[in-house]
Amino acid sequence: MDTNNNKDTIKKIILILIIIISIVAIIKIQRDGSIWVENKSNEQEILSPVDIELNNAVDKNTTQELNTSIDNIKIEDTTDVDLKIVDEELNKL
Amino acid sequence: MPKKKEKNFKKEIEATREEVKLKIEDMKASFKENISKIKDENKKISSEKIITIIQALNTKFTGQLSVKIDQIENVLVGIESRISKADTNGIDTSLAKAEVLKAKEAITIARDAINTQTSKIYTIGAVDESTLRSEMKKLRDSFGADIKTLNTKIKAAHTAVKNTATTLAKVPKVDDDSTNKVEDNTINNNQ
Repeated sequence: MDTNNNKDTIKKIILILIIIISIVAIIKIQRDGSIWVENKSNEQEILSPVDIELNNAVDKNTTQELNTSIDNIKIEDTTDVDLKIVDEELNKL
Repeated sequence: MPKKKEKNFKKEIEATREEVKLKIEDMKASFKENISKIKDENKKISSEKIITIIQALNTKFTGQLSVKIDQIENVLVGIESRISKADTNGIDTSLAKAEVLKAKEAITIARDAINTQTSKIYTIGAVDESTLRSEMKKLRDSFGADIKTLNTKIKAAHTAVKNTATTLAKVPKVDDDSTNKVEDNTINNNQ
């Protein structure tokens, strides 16, 4: 009888421990989640002015940036290279 | 305003491309008649290939150059915006404005040239065995020259915008956005 009682007690203790661990785990997940959400919203608050500043920087278009932009537009003449396919066919005539 | 122009140009180019598609079909039919005297089937196939390739290259080049001219014009829009800000700060930008006008003209010429080139159909008249190669060669050279001329016009627009940007960069304090801010702060501090 005593052995059975002991077993029941152990089972109850294990069950209680599992419940406690589960509750702690749920609370931890919720807390971490909320921290993450908080961080995210804070981050957004911090990032938003940065984005605005970046947009302003782009909108500012300093003469140096404008010169770089125009220099970056490359107009290459590839006519002769592309016409090689035509030349190959011409040779067959 | 330039964006509106850009849109109109794109519409115009699209319309031209649609017209050309129909014309190409007609041209291919008449081309077959023009080479009907050629007995060698391989030569006929090669000739048709050349016509098709040239027309495809024309579409490719004009498309690429349209994109380039859009990019060039976008830089000019940025330049005009910078000029406008400098004007607000009381800076003399008259030299740069004169360059803007030249750049706009060069861009218009380039766009018109792209449109004209897009509408071109490359074909030959009736030929026989003895004239086929020389006529096809003439066609190839003519197309090559047209594209090179077009490239020159796009480069001219590019140079004109580059000159505008360089002229603007030489204007003293043109990038100085702080002038107004300092004044604003002074006003705020005095209040």
